[in-house]
Amino acid sequence: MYVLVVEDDAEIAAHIRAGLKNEGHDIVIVADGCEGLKTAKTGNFDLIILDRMLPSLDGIDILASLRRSGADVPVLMLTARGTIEDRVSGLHAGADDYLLKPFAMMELIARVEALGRRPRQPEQSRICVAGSIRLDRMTRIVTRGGRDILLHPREFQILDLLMSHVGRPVPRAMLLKTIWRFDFDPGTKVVESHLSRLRAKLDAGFSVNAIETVRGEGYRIRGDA
Amino acid sequence: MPERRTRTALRIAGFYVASFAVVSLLVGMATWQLTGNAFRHTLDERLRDELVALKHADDIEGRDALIADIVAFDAIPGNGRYLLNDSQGSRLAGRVSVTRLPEEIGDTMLRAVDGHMEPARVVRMTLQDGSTLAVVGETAAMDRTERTLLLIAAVGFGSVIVIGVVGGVLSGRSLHRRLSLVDGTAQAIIKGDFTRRMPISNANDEFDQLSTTLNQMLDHIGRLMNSLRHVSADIAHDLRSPLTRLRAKLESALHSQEPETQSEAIADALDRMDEMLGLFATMLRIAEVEAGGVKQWFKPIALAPLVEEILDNYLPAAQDGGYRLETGLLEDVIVIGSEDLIGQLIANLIENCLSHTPQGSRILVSLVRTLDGAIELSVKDNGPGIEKSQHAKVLQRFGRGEASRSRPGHGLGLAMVQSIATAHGADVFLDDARPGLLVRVVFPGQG
Repeated sequence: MYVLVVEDDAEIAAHIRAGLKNEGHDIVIVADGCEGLKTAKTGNFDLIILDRMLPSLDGIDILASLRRSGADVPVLMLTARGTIEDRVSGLHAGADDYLLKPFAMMELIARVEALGRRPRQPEQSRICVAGSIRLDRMTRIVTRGGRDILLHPREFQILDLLMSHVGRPVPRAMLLKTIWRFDFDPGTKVVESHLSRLRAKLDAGFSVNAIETVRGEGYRIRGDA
Repeated sequence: MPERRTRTALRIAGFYVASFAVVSLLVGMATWQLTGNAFRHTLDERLRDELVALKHADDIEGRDALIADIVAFDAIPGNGRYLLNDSQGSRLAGRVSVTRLPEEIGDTMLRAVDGHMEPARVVRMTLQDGSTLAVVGETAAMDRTERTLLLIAAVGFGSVIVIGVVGGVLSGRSLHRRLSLVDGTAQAIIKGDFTRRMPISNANDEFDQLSTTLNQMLDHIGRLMNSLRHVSADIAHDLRSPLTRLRAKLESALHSQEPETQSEAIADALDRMDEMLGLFATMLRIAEVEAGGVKQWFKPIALAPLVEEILDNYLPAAQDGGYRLETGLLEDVIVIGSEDLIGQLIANLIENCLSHTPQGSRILVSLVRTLDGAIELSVKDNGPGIEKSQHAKVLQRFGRGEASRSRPGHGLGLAMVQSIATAHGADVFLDDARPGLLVRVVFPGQG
């Protein structure tokens, strides 16, 4: 993907560049607000990562101006201010997603890919496959090695999200936000207990554990499960 | 700026006094003028009528009858009122004496029998033979009435000025006094005494209304300042120690020679950092909720489906821990609020039970409308409960019950519940469930 990063902190920008480049994306970095808006309007980007607080022009203003000009490129806002007001105003101005600093690189990559997929494939493909696991979004039937697996709706949602990122870890915070609509981290094992159920159902009778825990990053479904 | 304030009060008083004075002066003058004119007009009419009647006598009954009439009228004691001169100007009848005789109608001076001169009105007519007939009316009585009127007006005018000045000064002074009370309190608050509040009298007037509003504002600012103070203290208190441990961990990893130990230490450090960031986010969120700005996104929410959704989320975790998470009565109720925040409130209450009661405990969540229309969300467990003396403390930040000091948790869960409830105008009550803890969140009823 061709990604524009508008971020005035050189160190963070370099970190993002390194992380996304590793995933095979092309990155353009701009440090100034006004220039960022100009570049965003002229360049044909697949995605824009926009810092909230920038010199010369605020991230929200860039976004609003961009949306007014009719650009529908997906925008991921980065912010160090985690208030609810901040989040609401960002989404209201037309941001597609919102990531709080500091963030884990895996989380950024996962969000970038989710956003990158959104406009090009507005309707996700019906069938999703990871190794021997097959998930049908229409009939909501999940099979592993041809064997039907009965899932609770919540477990189906989790598996669906994991299978949209086959082979890559999905961060815990993203699970909480997408599946449970929690924008806070509950102390107890809400995610863990759902996952352990899902695992038990998926792995029953198989020697390979389909879902791995990646320490500090999240949960990953194996491509060869 | 005390001088300016005094001037304002006096200016208001002065303005009203001047306005009253001008208006009453104008009214007085107009009354005097109109009354004078009316008197003069009436007198003129009367004199003209008499003159016409006399002329009529002359025309019909002849000159002798006219003269007889004048003589008869002049018999009444006084200064005489009639005059008949022939065309040469010699007096034919009448004993009145005037200084001048204007054409038709006009003012003159009458020479009284005692030699005094008195103002008078005269109406005159030339008869057919060229002789002059005139009737004179004294205006002294009329002038006296006019003078009385003038006196009344002057007294009224003076009273208006006096009342205006006195009233103006008094109300200006009272205004000044009330304002300086408010000003003095504000000055004291600026100097740092934030416990001061605007004085409120028994009058329940506009000033008291203003003071009440200002006091509410001060209370709100006080809460915000308090919250801010807490956040800074909390950061120092609860972030410093984990940061110190984190630093020690990284330091020892730096000196370690084994790459395995190093990467293990780094992964551990990341975990700890995420935990700290979570704590940080919670503190900031409590502060934000307490600031009240979240209210702008409030909308009507159906509570029962929200409770069911959250419980559904927690069911696996509860079952894994051997807990019985159950719902009691869930009535269909609507509250105005933020779905996210109330969701977090319910989640925190369940979290609280899961982390502070032994395995196998029963957690019962219910939602009812009370008799007085309020909406009560309650979460009851049958665990060890919290001692009554600790109830207030656990609702504060980092206010953990002594018994739970050794358990994981940072003591912000119930503080978050409290601040979300307050933002929604709801109250949180902790009760003894015999055994266990009963937490009730009571939302005000709609309408």
